[in-house]
Parts: sequence; structure tokens; C-alpha cells
Amino acid sequence: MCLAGLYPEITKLVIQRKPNQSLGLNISEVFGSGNEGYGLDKAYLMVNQVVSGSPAEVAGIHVDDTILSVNGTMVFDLPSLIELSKGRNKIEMVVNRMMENAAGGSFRQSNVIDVPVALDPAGMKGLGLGARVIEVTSGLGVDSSVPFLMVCALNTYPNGQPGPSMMAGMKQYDLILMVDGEEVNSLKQLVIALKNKTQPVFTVRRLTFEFGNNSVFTKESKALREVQLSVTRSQGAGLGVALNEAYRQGESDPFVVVTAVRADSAAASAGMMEQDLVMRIDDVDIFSIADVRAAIQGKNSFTVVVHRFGLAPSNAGGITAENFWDLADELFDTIDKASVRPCAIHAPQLLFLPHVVCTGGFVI
Amino acid sequence: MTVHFQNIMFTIICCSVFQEGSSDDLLSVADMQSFFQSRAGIAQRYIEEMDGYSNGSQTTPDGKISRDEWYGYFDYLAEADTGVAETSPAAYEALRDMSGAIR
Repeated sequence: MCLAGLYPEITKLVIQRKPNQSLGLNISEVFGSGNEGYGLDKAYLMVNQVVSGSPAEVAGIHVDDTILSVNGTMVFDLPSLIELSKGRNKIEMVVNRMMENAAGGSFRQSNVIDVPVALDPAGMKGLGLGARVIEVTSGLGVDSSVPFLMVCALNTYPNGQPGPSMMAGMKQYDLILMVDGEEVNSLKQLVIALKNKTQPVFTVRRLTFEFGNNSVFTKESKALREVQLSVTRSQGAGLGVALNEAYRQGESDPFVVVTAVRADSAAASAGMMEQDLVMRIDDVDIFSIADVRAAIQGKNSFTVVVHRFGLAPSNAGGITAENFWDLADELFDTIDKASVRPCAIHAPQLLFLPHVVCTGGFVI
Repeated sequence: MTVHFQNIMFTIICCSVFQEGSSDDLLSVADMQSFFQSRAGIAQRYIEEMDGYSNGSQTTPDGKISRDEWYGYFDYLAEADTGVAETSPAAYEALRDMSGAIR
């Protein structure tokens, strides 16, 4: 594991733009050193330039970022990227960014978790790990980082059952750092590390979110309200949420964001919502998923304080998805009729005026 | 004496009755300020955000908001390009912010 120096950070960003507005990115397809894991026929997409003030810059895309996926689909060429982003005002990108650890490895070392995977009984004759793993690096040539292994897809058994990695909770874009405590930086090392193992423990670094200046998540731009939730769960039951650690641009302290809430779960019953920021649990400040785990371990009831952005649809004063456009239309008419203007003409008229353009001479 | 007519065309000028309570399907700065009255800051903010923001194409701001620009703005906030019948917190917030002033 690269505790000091450079390492690739797998980060999800959201670009928001106006209709038909350019993203503001100059991107190259890069073949050769550093993309061996993609296969010879595939490139990776590197950002050469980010236009100042563009949606991409606002979202936090950097020069030398490698674009891994667009709206959930892996991309290896420019036409695919253009097709996937065409006509969309909101674009989710997962990028691979070379980050530099601060001294002591304290910078962005969160989101590292252990995942024990029970390889299938048939060993490598079956699904084995049940994950497609590729080597990724950041940067180019001599400036690139050492290769890291990234999970780019999770496989299921032919009958549709989740494969071993999926069952164990491995996620797409997980960066595999170690297997049973041994560093792995290449596919070859991974194969050796898994040899004769039935339940290896993978140490992975999970995808982080980065929130740019345009996001609804930006605390400074949207009103936040603090909501206190009382969570009660039965013995041994989970919380029922998917959490992710997130960063704001240029900051090293993460915060925890709720990315999904399972229906009929303890979190759903307590009123937890997607995009809530988990700030405190039983008066303990929360900065990481590990903090959440520690704070709720062994407890059947606890208080969660979340920060919620903007207005929750359910509390929108009668505004719902069903009547939203009707209300918007009605409001337009109301504003349009609001103005008091001088009466200039007594009745509607159509005046037909000749519009004449001449080059010299005069007009008749 | 030679007269050169390069182009002759007829321009239709529509003169509506400018009275209280009339509508021209365009929201002007005056409309917005009249509607929001003491909350002039909100009127200015939405004029700036919506003007020139036609759905599907960027047009030059002209000081008036057409219905297309109005829809385009909320489309953008609501991420309607996904085709999903939902709105975002930002869209709800903007609509509530404006409709809250209805008297």
C-alpha cells in the first residue's frame, strides 16, 4: 500500500451544465504505458485541459484526471464519452486522479475497509473471485504512479446469483490494496496472492465522492437544515443505508453522505433520506464510515443528526412531482399578469409597416 | 436619378393592450419586480438565471423571459433530460421560493 507519495484516487464527480453547454474539457485517448490492464485495443481518457469557468471546472475535474466511467458506463474512447454525455445536463463521472499523501499518510486515507471473500467451491474453474479486475495508474510515463488494481465489474453466476465478490460486499471501482495483508499492485501479484486461498481478506479503498461548487451538496450554496432522527432497530439488524465518504474540493477531511436508503429498514423508518449528511450519532461527531460503525455498534437505538439540503419534496408546501409543472405554468401566468403598465393603445392592432433597406438614392 | 431597393419586407408589429392584468407571454424585469415587490433581489436573481436559457438551446439574453426559457430553467434544475418524472431539491426550492410570494 502506498502510504506516502502518489496513489490513484477513484473519485465520483457530478458535472451540471445548461442545455447544450460545453463541458469545457479537452480530452485525449492515451495508449501505451499505464493502460496495460485495459487491453491493447483500449485507451484511457486523459484530461488535457479544463476550460476556466466551465461546468467541468466547477465540478472539480482536474488536468491529468483519467475518466473511467460516464453515467455508470466504463469508457475507453472519445465517441463513447460523447454519446453517453450527449443531451444530458447532469453527468456523473468517475475519474482516476493521482493524489499525493501528506507526510505520515494522513491525507485521504479513509474509506479503506477489509472485505473477506469466500471464493466459490469450484475455485478458478467456477467464478473464482467473481470480479473483473484491471490495472490502473495515474499520470503518464515517468510521472505515472505505480499500478493499482481496480474492480471494474462484478460477476454473477449463470443462474443469476451474486458472485463471491458481490456477496462479500465488494463494489465496482474498489481499489484493491492488499490481500491478506500483502500488497498487490499487479494482476500477476493478485493471482499469486490468491493461490490456494479459500477465504482471502481484501483490503480495499472505496470510491469517494467529491463535491464541486455547483452541487446541491455544497453546504455554502444551499440552505442546510439540521434534522434529528431517532433510529430503532431489532437485535442484529443493520441500519439499512448505503454510505459513502465524500470530500469537498481542496479539503482533506471527509464527511459521510447517505447514498441509498433501503425500504422497510430502520433508517427508512426513522426518516433518513438519500443525500443526508451524517453529522453526529449520539453526540459523537462523524467523519468516516468507520466512525458510523463504531458509534452504532451493539446499539439497538440511537440518535442520528443529519444535515439535509434544500427542501425535501415531501415538505414542499404542496409541491409534488405530479403538480410541479402545473404550478410552474400557473406561476408564469401569475407573474405575467402582475405588472401595471401604461395603456398605450386602446385595442389590439396589427400594423404592417414596410421595412426598406436602400443603398444610396432615396426611399419611395 | 436611380433608386436602389435592395430589400423590402413587411414587419409585423404586434401591439397588445398594455393594461393592468394583461399578459404578453413574456416576463419582463418590470413584471418580476412588480410581482416580487419588496423582494427585488429575488426578481433580479431569477431574471439573471433564466434569461437566455431556452430549453435545448442557449439564446442571447434580451431582458425578457419567454415560456421556453422558463421551462428550460426548471428543466435544467429538475434534470428532466433523464426522462424521469421527478424533480430535484433545487427545482422544488426554486419553485417554492417564487410561488411563496403569490398573494
